[in-house]
Amino acid sequence: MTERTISVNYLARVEGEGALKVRIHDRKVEDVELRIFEPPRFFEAFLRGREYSEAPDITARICGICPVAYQMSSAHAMERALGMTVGGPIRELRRLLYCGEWIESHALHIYLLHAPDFLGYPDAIRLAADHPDAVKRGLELKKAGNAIMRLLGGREIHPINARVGGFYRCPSREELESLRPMVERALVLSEETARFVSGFAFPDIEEPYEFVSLRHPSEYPMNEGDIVSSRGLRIPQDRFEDAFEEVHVPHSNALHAIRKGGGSYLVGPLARYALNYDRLSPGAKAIAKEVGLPPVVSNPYRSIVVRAVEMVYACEETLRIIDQYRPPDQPWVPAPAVTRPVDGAAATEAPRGMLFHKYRIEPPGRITDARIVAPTSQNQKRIEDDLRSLVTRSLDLDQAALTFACERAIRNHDPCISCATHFLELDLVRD
Amino acid sequence: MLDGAGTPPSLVIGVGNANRRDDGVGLAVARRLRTRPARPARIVEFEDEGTGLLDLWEGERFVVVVDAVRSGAAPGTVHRIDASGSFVFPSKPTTSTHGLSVGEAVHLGRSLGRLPERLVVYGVEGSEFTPGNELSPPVARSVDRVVESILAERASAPVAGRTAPELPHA
Repeated sequence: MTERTISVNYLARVEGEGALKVRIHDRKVEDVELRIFEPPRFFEAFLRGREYSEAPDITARICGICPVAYQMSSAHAMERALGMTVGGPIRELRRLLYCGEWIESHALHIYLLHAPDFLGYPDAIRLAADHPDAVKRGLELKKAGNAIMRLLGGREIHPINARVGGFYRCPSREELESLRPMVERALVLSEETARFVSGFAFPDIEEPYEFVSLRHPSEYPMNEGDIVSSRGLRIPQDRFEDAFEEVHVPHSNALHAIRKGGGSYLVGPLARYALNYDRLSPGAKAIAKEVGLPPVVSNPYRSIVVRAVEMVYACEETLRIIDQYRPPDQPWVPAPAVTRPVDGAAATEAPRGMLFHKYRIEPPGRITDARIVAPTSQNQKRIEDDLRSLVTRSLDLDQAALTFACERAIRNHDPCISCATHFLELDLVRD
Repeated sequence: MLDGAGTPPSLVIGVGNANRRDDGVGLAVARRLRTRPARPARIVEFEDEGTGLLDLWEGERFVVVVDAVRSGAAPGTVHRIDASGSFVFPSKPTTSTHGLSVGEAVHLGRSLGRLPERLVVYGVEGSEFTPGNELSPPVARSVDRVVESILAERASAPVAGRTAPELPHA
């Protein structure tokens, strides 16, 4: 009888907040426990009692990598609660801001975090020594995404310009036009990225994912659309809680999101792509075809190629918005007074998947309840399922190789635990 | 290499996360530095991940970076590291799920030929990295000391950093 344990712990400064533990007994995977620190819980508590107008700026602080997602989901949820409709150029600028975040986040993940796994390097620094041009391409793409976020978000880090109803200030046509050369170049670099990463060697694995994402009647989804799944679900955004629930699991303080009456599901690029392939721009479809990416991808390792295709999409979408932009008469739609308790919920597509916010606002405008379901907490159980199938088929690997394989399987889904200074630290135990 | 000899830093970057107590010490130093009449030309509070540093210091000659560290020294201890040369920031065999630390950004910049001519990193030993905004007392007391040291920095200053702390912040 042999027992084998694989542990991945975070550094002590976030102690107890996240870890991976896999227990193998007699060549059978007994337990897979992934715990990820969930900053939204902390934020949900201190949003109570704050003005509803503060939510976009407060929640943006949950994540340094996807602040726009938090701003967008909170602003849309408040607008739903208040019965507001935001359209025209403001709606387009929100999409543009999201394009910037997708480009920035995907470039970072592809080049600095994910590519080293495929090319046999322990990290991006060692990768850069041998492949400086690839890493420079990644940094240039990231910079283009940052430039979009800086113009729309008002400053370089932690955007502050988005608000309930729109923006504090909208850019002029000239300001938007100034982004064009950089974005045109980013489009070329994104296509090169798709070609580059599609040449990697991918383990021949398919997982039986239930994909979940937004779906809009005409657009590749960012801010709007119904919640749909690859198993036939279709519900309006504010009915999220009808179909999904968060359950306590014994090994973790964190909640795991599951389909009600069902199991795990996957949000993120693989899900968006599979459920919205037909909504991609012509250039994004063309590059997917060129690099041999089918309309549905169930191999988690190939998510790196899907991210590249989404960058191509985001660049094309940015150029379309720049072409058509006319500044709005007013940078934001004024909100009505809060005269009775109201509820509002919204989901938007963060780079790593659907982000759900729900609020209750009471007169004269205070938040009395807040609920935030981040993409990573939705994927947590699904990542555990990936790990279970990985370990089951990889029992003959030695401890170091198996631990690395587990980390890699986690990285496939770009989990968002970046609200602070989180690292995965390896701690191996073999019985 | 030191053709800016005797000149003060042109850019000071305070790195940190204001919502993680002592992790915000770099930001606190940057803010305190702003109140000083003889402050450096450019002071940046940086809360993004490390690759952004490469863009920030592009074209700068003498850059000072301040971040929280953990090396096992007493809380509030100030480490000074000359990172212009071949200094290797030690790191545990960790895998970041997001972004690079300051040490990793320096190594990446070196690989890509994107370091400033002179780069000094101040690491302030932290002890409390839990959610919250207040620095722990020993770290709070070190802020003025770091500010004074930075104001005294000249490009010809000798390399004093001997300790090899781990720089935990991304």
